[in-house]
Amino acid sequence: MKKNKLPHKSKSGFKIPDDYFGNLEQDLMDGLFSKSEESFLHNKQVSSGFKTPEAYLENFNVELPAKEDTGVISIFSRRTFYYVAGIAAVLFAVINSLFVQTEAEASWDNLELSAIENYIEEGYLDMPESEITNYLYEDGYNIEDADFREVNSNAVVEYLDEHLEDPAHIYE
Amino acid sequence: MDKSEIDLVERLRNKATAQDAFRELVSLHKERLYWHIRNMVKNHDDTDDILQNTFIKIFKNIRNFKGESKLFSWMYRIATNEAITFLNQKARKLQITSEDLQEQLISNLESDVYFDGSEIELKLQKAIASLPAKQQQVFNMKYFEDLKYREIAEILETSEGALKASYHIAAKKIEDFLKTN
Repeated sequence: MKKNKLPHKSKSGFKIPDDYFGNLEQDLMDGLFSKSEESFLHNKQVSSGFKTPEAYLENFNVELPAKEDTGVISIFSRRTFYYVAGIAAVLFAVINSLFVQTEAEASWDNLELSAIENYIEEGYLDMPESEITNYLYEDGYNIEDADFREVNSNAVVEYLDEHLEDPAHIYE
Repeated sequence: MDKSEIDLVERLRNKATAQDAFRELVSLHKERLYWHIRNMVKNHDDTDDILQNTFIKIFKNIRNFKGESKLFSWMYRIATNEAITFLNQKARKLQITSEDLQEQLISNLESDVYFDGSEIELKLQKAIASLPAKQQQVFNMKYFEDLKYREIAEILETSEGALKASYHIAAKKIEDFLKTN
């Protein structure tokens, strides 16, 4: 038997951290596919972080507003309407002949578009949001009907050039 | 529109079948529309209000749906318009700009009980909020909602090429934001 035999490899004195090999694979995966700021966009590892109350979507229900099927009863008969209209016409003619109007009459044509926009922008239009957005879909279905292909492209570029803070955005 | 969509629209337009059809419509689309709106307005309670309004508008206006696009795209468009209207009105009420509103929405997330995002997720939301509105929409629809470019193009009524460019610009800006912040 040899006296100078080398000690067994397992008694080399070196140690490894607890469960090193168990964690090695995970560490390698984390290293390669980490949530690093550069890589996560491409690996789609980050969620939005939003959550819902418990069982919200399962219990989600929409209560439709009650139908407005009640009939409309006219408070005027046709005969009454003609009487009132006749009286109003006579009064209008008399008043017109008595007062000479010196100032320009108010009409839709005289109203500046910007004034209407300001009125709405400033929040003077006393109408609930839901009612305003109804017009987007109900009144002539303007959103679906709008055809912007008809707009001249030069006019669009000119408009953007004048109104955009940073015209470089046009080319994005 | 495929056959099942045509059938659903017809049933929604018929008084006798409208209620059941509406229940089916809500069940089919509530989840995707919820997350679409949530990604735009960030807060759960506001999302809930907008989602309710969206479904009511869809029901009320189903007769105006011409069938030129998919029902799904039309509904997304209404949800998008509702969310944009809500955000604009909120900014006006608070007398702040849209950009300031975005900042405020993100800072509210830190104390939101319905947001449990990690640091990187919060940072990503901040990066998204720094984008122009249109790029935010495209990024959210592609990244979080996993919509195809073809579907996004139909919803936003724009070309696929423009969308691809928009998404890549948005992704680049987000990467730059994350590197520098």
